Amino acid sequence: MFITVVEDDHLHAEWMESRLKAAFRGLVINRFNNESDFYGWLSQLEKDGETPNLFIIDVMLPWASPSPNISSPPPEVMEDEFFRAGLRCKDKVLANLRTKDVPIILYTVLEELDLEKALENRQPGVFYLRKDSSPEPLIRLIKRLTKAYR
Amino acid sequence: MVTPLFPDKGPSLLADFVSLALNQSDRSGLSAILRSIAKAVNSYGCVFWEVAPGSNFDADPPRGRMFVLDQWLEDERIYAFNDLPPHSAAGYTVRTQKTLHVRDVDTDPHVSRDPRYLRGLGVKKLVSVPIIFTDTSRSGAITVYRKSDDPFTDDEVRIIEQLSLLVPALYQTTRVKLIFSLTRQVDDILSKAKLVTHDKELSSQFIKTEVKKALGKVCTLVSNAFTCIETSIFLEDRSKAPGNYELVATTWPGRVDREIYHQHEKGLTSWVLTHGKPVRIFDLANFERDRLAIRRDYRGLVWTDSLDIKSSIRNFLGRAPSDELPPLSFMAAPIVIAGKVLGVIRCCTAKEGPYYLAEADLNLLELIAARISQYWSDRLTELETQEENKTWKLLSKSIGELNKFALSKLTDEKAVESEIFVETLRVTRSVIPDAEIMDIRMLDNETNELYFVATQGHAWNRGSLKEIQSRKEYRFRINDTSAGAHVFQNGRVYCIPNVENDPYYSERLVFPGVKRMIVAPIIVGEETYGVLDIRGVGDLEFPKNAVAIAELLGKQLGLHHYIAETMEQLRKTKADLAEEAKEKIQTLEDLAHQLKSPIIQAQARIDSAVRDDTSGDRGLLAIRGLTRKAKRVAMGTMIFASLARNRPIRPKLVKLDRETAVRLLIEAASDNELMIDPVRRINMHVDREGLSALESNIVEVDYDLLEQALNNILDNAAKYSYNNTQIEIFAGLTTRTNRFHLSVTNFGLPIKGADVQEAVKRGWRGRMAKLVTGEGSGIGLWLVKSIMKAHRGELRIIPTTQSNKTEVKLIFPNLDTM
Repeated sequence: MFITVVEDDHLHAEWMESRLKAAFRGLVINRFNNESDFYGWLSQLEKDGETPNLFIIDVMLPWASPSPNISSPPPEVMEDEFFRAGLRCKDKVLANLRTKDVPIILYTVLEELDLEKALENRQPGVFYLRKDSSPEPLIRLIKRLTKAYR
Repeated sequence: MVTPLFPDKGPSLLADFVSLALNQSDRSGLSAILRSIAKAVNSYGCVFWEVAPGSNFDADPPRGRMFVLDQWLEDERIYAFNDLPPHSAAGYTVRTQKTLHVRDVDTDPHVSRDPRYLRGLGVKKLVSVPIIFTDTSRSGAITVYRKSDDPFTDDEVRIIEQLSLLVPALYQTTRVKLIFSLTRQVDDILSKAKLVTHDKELSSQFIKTEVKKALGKVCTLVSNAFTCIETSIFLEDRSKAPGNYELVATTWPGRVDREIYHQHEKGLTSWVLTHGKPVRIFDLANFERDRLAIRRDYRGLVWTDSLDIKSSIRNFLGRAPSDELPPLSFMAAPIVIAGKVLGVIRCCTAKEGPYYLAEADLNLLELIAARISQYWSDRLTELETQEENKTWKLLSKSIGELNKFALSKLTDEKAVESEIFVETLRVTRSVIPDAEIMDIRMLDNETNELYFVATQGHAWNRGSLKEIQSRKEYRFRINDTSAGAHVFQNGRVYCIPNVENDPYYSERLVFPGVKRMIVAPIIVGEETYGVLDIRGVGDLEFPKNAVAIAELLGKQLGLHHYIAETMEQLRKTKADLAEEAKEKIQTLEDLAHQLKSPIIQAQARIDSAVRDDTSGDRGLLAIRGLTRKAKRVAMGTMIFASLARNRPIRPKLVKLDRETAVRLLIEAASDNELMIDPVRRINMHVDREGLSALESNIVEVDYDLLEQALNNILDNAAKYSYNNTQIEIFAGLTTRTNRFHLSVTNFGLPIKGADVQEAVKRGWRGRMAKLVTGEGSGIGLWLVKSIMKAHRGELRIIPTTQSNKTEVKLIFPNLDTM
């Protein structure tokens, strides 16, 4: 199984990776810690590369890593900044022909209520899951989704 | 005993004569009176001669001529003799004021110069008696003709004299009856015509048709009364074609040569229109001959017989070219009200006697003209009222639509007031058709000038692009003497009926063709925002209600502008509130995120450690770092909340020793380094050397607050550093003031000199900084500054150098010197 994770908190990412790999034998994870790197990979995926079975995307994410040459972000990024970056990533996944049917888990410490408006009219393959100290809810959801979408 | 007046004819003759005369009610009754005289003395005919105007029979030799005023001949033949000379039987009678009895026309010297008419008629005897008109300026004679050889007896002569003596008075009576009859009938026609349109909402075309019908009847009536061939009425419709006096009704059977007249043209009709006075010409056929006398009475009157009037009349009467014609009399009276000439009524050429249109006839025509003028004036008012009503209705509808349009525009997310301006000008044009050049000018509050915001009319776009641009960009100061400034200052509509001599009109060079202008204020209450300009270039005057319309539209524009301004304010307030609310929500979300993330992570790692017992040193350090981060965020939140409520920070100060400071710096460096993603390869280094300054300097700190401040700075340094760089933490004394400081340097996103002051404000984040963080709402440095202020110390940010190095110092007060 191949899961793509977009998560900027490396401590959380490390923990999650270890727990998931323990739960899913042979799991391959590729992680991006900012929005622009993820977009770059996603656009490349349209031409080449393996399509993941699942996306796990945090909601609050930076646009890029600090560097002297940060790529210019689109206007919506300047407007909403990092607060809803994961939702923009979700939209990009859904807009991509290769990934539009791949399930997405929005995995965040934000309450569902906080994202109420953004999650209105949610597409069938998009799921919200609040971050938890236990990996079990995430593992269960992944099992359910990968089974359903297998 | 009374001697009978007419012993041979019996006493009834006079009574019959008077009775017959009094029964005449129209102008042709004179012919019946003449017939009665001829019949009374068994004669062939009787002719009423009048001395032509301009003649002088008292001169030596006498000048002028006589003409037939009216006649009756037994065989009903009509002979007209215009040029009967003073040395004729009738002329003799006038000159001598004596009766002349000619017993033999072939031999009597008094008729030796009479023309061929006597021979033509076969007359052998005649009696001519002088006539004294009631109008003493006129004189004439009545001549009775006999074809038989029997001479007139003395009684017959006496009968002729006595009856003729009564003719002027009886004729005058007939005339008075005619006046009453004619004016009553005209009044009747016009009042009936009034009733047709009274209180009804009818089209202007219908009203005009009714006017034509009514005045057609008047023309017929007048023509019959004066036995004229032509009676015509010309009127001006000032609302549609000012200056054009158009034919409304005529009795002329053929095509009228001219249907429109203007003032200040040659000709009789134009002369009346120009001068507003009546004119009466005795004989158009002899206009040239009488020119001097006519010009004396009617100054400036010029007329040429372009129609060959004699031929026209001969054709109309079916006469041979050799036939004499009666005088072709003409009279015209102006149709005037309140000094304004509305039109003219004219009569020309009697088709039967009396041929001469006398002064009294003209007076009667003037009476008729006065009635027509009142009627037409009422109709014009009615037409104007109809037009006004239509205009108000249209305006009312248009303003309704305009308001709807304005509302739709004003409620748009970005209201475009210019579209409302353009639409208002379109509405103005539709309700004031003569508004040729229009614009709206608004106040520029900064320069106190009026500038054009919308224009309409071809005149705006004449000339080169440069000229057009210059015209549209022209500005008027609100304190100058232009009409716009005048209106702007006093807030009232200003109407300029004629720009030629208006003191405020100032656009002579810009719009050379403009003749009139209305300037209305764009106003709400006492507040004037601009002006609406309406200019007219044609001959038509603005409608009477144009000023009121302009005023209304100005107020409407004012209202729209006021609403637009209010909406803009509301929009800004709403946007500000939304922005504020958004910021608050984002801050709360961010704080929740910062609090929950480390707690969840720490708990997850603790659970793992307990369950798997696999947690090494790094795992424990992670748990410590995460819990400290959670504590720091919680504390920061509390300080933030206190400061937001204006509660000052109250530090619990204790002396900072070197050992504590070393531990603080190392743990802070360790905790923060752990939070940095290892892939970025950033490390933190503590330089302990400078901490020795604490051995010689007393520094008091609140340990928790210092930890908070230091971690905030390190957190920032970690977030904004470029990959593969080192963050340096060190201490020391400031160069000049010898104060203890803890400092952090890093290499990463720059803080420019200009941003140093901004960076410590609540909620500020640099443009690039916003792009590289996944949390943080910009309160870190603000908290640090507040903490240092509570320590009476200082947060100093040294702007980024060319080598991308940024330095942040926490400077503490030197207690030795305090």
